[in-house]
Amino acid sequence: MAQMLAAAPAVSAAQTAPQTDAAKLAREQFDKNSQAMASVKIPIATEPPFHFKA
Amino acid sequence: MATVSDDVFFAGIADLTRRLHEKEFSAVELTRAFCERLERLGPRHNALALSLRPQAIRQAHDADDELKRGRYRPLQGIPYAVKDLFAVRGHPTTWGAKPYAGQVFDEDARVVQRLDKSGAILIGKLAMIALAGGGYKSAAASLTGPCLNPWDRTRWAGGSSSGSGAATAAGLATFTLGTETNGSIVTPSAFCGVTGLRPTYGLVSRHGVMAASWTMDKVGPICRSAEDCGLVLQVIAGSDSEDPGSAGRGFSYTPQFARKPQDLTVGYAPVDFAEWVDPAARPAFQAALEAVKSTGVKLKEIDLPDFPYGPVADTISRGDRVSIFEDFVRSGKVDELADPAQIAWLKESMDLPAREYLRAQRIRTLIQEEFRALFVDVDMILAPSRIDVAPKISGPIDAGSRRDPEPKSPGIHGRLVSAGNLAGLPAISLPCGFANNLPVAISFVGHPWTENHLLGMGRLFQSQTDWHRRHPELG
Repeated sequence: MAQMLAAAPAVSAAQTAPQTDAAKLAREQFDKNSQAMASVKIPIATEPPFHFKA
Repeated sequence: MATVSDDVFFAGIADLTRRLHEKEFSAVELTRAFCERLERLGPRHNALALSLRPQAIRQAHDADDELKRGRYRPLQGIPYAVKDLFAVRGHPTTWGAKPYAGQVFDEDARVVQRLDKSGAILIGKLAMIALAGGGYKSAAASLTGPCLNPWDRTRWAGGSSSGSGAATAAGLATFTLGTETNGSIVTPSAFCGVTGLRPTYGLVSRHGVMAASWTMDKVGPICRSAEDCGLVLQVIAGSDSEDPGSAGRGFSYTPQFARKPQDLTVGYAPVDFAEWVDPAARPAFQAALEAVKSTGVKLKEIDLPDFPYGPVADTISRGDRVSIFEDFVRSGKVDELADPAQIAWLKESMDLPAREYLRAQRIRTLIQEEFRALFVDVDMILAPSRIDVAPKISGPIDAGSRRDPEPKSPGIHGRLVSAGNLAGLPAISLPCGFANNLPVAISFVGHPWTENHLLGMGRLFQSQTDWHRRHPELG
């Protein structure tokens, strides 16, 4: 039983490793996006281009 | 029974229409021939999601009955296929993703309804990147596996309208429909050597089409020629109260009234053609540039307004997609997608701050303003559709897009797709040659509602070149 419990996380970790790497890469990309967008000066009156029709 | 010769698979709409009217073959014979080819070659390219042969044959019988009675409709008897995110009543619409494999809608997408009324015959649904993309890194990010390029089956067909590009290139349908949020019509059109049109945002209804981004999704045709794109766009465009993004406009294909090339100024970046494109593709791109010059247009060197287009498009895409698919992500079904990068991208996007999404949208307002100013100086913008040929399916899909050493100027090619999609601009991708036996293409981007100018330029370019008439030998 102890062996089974010990083995379980190891299998799980092996299965999730590619996704963990992918998650890290995604977060790094999002951080880069965020930094790139932070450099843009936006006039305070600038509205997002949404079109709400009442 | 008339024989349908193999040349029909690569014939244009006007040619097929004339031959149907002259009774060289019937609509049923033409439809049977295309269905057989779609079912035989589609799976070989992982391009087919679903054959619709029985209903197509029924539609073709109706078309023949009408032709006998002398009733003619614009696309009568012309076989077409759609990306598997267009709803087709009573049939699975998988969105290219395993968790949606059993999804069935009870109404046709608006564009399918419009094509049905025009007499076009829907023969099948085509493979696509799952959920039309977002964060994927592999050609295999699809329910049907990597869609193989008909010019070289070790290469990718492009995405996310993968099957639409491959099917048109392989002569599996006379035209196909795709969608573009950020490059999904232009890229497969370029990689597969066919002509793709991305309409202005709001021109074509998205009712009954999977949403990926409410403010960026567009529906457009992938065809053999600019001429065919115009004929299809005329049918599918139009106002729709059930699409909140509909601009309430129609479209009449009137290339005869397109502006003369001598009156047009086309902006471009010479460095794109001289230094950024794949070295093996440079002769093709230089020849394309010369062909454009020979039409009489004025070419003017430009740069794009300085914005982080890619990050802005990615942020908006993340915000919209993760809102649309929030329940899907929370339920854990997201883990059934094929590509770990796409899974991670969707999961991590759940934490996107609202202020960041709004920042991206506000930058987009600035981008639209700057592009309006740019289009005072130029009528169109020209760039390579992609600077590389289709990548190997075995590697990452962005392999090869770097240059070593990198040219000093960034050019505009790498920003134009995101910029054009953020500003809702129309574009046409035209095949312009080959590199290592794989197609390459140029794109013209116009300001909103100038589809006729783009199609006119496309027709002119294709009257001077024959790249759009080339097709792979598939047997």
